[in-house]
Amino acid sequence: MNQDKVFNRKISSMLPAGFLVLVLLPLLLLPLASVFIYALRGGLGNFGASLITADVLFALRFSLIIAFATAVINALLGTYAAYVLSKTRFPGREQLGIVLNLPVAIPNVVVGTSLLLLWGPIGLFGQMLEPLGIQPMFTPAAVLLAHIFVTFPYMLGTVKPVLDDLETTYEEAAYTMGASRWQTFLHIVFPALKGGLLTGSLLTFAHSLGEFGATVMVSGNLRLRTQTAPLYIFSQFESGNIQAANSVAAVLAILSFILFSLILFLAARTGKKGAQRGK
Amino acid sequence: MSILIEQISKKYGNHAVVDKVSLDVDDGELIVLLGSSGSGKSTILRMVAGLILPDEGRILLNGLDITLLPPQERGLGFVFQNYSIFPNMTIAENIEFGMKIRKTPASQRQARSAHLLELVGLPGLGNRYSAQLSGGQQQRVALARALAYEPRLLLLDEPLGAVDTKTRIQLRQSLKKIVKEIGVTTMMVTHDQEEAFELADRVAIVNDGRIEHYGFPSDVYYNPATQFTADFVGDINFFEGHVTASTEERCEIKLFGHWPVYRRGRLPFHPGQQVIYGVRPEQIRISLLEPESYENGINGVIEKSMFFGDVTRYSIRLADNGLLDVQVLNYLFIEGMAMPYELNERVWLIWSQGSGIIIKP
Repeated sequence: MNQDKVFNRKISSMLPAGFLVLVLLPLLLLPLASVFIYALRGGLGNFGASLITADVLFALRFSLIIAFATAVINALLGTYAAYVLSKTRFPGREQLGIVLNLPVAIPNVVVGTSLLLLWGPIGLFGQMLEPLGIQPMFTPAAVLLAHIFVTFPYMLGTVKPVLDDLETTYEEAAYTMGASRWQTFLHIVFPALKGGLLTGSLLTFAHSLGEFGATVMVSGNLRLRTQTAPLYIFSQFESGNIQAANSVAAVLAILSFILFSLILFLAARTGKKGAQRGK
Repeated sequence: MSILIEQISKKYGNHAVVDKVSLDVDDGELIVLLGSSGSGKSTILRMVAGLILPDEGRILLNGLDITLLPPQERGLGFVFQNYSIFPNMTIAENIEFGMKIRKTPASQRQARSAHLLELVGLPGLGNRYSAQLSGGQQQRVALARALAYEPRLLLLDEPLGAVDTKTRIQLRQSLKKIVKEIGVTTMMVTHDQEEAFELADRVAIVNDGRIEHYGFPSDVYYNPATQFTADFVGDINFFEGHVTASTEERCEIKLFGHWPVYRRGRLPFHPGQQVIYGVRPEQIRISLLEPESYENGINGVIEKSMFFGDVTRYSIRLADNGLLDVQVLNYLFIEGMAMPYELNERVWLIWSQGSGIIIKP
């Protein structure tokens, strides 16, 4: 009688988790699995061969370079913006914070369009630059610009909370000990930001790697020039080359999985260290 | 190193957090700014440190005007209430930070940090991080760090506010010993009266951005300049009264319009003047006998008694409907030197004509 009760209780405690898996299966897990199934349908040989074409190698390399550059630039810009928003007081600070976070709310394709309208051949700045022989759109620089724009809030979102939580007395203590603002940033603020910076950079990198909407607008999707991995996948799908598209998609999925595992690991470690050091 | 603060003020919006405050601190002196939270005491300290700029007034360090000097150039040591030990550095690195900024050679830095850790009673803990230390230990580290580069002035903002009572008492004693041993001029902020009295050479009572009284602890306690000060340091019974006679020897005050009490000494009050008369609960004794002619006395009925361990506090309803608190040491009952009193018992309350405080309302 008692055993039956225990068994029933065990079953009922597992029900919510079971339901979650059931819902997630068609939504997340099966689509992901199908990418790998399709990628490997022609065998490992075919999968490998479809990855070593010039187009694929360029797209993957280009995507990684852009993602890396975006992460580095946004680490600097995002930290600066977070510092200004968190540590200085000026009228319109709240509003500026909202504006800087806007890219999250705006559809990426709209970001791409707006960049085109500004920097494109008929755009406000584009028209001024054209006589000088400068055409910023449909170049790697345009892709970088779009990615910086789109991923900017991720760095801000991970660094600013750390700065908000960092009590001003740490900085004040450093000042009274004779440290300049820069020395205080270098020795006191920056070490506290490391975890947030790393997490933010990986988040930015991962988002940049998968960015499509803004990239397709500003890059012109030019193979071997501005074609990123997601654009390559899209082009191959459009032309019916499912195997090639899925091979690159599988690589991107694996890369993203590794990146997010790293982010989760780092977040857990920073949290633990923070608790240990009483931050 | 002496400090002279001249008429400094700080306003936030229309509210004056610090209002024309003047203070002087002698070389090697330890002064305490005592006040409740929001009184402006920390703001005064932060203005001395250069973390806040005053709207008006001057701060002179050894005669040199430092009012507008940034905190980096003042050469002061500051201990924060939360200690602010840098969590990314070891204890030794924390202590050496100020010296590192001053480009002191590493060997010298390490020797100094080891010496300071010994001085504050934490030898050999240099390799630990702040989270591995107790609150009391962190407080000692914060003190060692502030003293590392031999500051001209030490500023302590509620340095014992975040530790438990027992540790606080231990830390108080070692803090005073260290500060006096080094001889550094020190300004400390606290809301704890006991702490202030134990540590301070002089105490400044801060209220609503102003200094109510600045003087020796015993003076502040027994001869407070204002009603606020009398009330803020320790417990006190207040009565409204008027002066009926004032001679070279004593002053006569009538409470409730007719009950005379006396205060020995030549006091600056004249007959007819309205005053506040105060007497502290521990200065009063309860008796069944009438007072002698050289004593003050008033009678009433015991309305309430509360046991506090070391003392019992009685509230006595006076004939004129006033209420007066009296404190009796419990060991007097145990030793048979005083009788426990019953509720509703009619008693005399007696105190010396040498005690009692007269304040202008």
